[in-house]
Amino acid sequence: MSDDTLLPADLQNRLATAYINKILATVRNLQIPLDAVILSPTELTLALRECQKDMDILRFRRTGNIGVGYEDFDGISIGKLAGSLAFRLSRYHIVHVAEQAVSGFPENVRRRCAKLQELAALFFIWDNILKIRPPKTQPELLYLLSRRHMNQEMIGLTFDVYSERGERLKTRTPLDQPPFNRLFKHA
Amino acid sequence: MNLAEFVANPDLLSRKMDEARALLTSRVGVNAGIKSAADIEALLDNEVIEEVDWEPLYQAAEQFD
Repeated sequence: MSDDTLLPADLQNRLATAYINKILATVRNLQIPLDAVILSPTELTLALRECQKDMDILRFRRTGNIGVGYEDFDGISIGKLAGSLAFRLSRYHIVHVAEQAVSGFPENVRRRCAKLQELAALFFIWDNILKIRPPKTQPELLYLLSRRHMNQEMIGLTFDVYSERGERLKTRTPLDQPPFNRLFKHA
Repeated sequence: MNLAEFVANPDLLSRKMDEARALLTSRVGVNAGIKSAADIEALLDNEVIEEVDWEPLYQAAEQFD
């Protein structure tokens, strides 16, 4: 794995697979035919490339260096990673649901379909990145992400607060052990 | 300094600014943590092992068009 970037291509592929698995879980929950959901690997690649830029620009701002050879680098917060991922995975045209496939479905299913990418992005963030139970304030977060505007760093700061205050989920390795005790801060 | 001092001695402003600049720090208090791609790999490897009810997340999508 290259040290020149925080998000090398092989890691981007892993993140992409985890995200698409959240799309899949959401679609299965809605009982939409799988072949009615069109994926764009190109848009997904572009989204994660932009996320890579976000992270590497943050690192450059923190260190004044690109790549290895920096000292006194305390890292980038987990909320900033989450913010960049959620923002980029919501903004690119990664998933399209064929309208005729859901035309006969109840209104609540069609409303879920209309935010499929954003739902999967939040699902992915809570489960794969922040490891917290979905917070009660997430409806407005979903509205912000899908219908209003913010930038990746502001939503990143929001995720830092969620990470600090949220109810932790049980993980295979407890989060108070290295390296996670460096990534997760408790209020 | 006040405005009368500035009118009397315009160069004083630059000297005062140099004095202030000497006290500045480039450090910024930011949240930190992830230092390498390996940290992000570790996050992905460390799976959640409890059952979580994701239905509230899906229901959030039904609250608006």
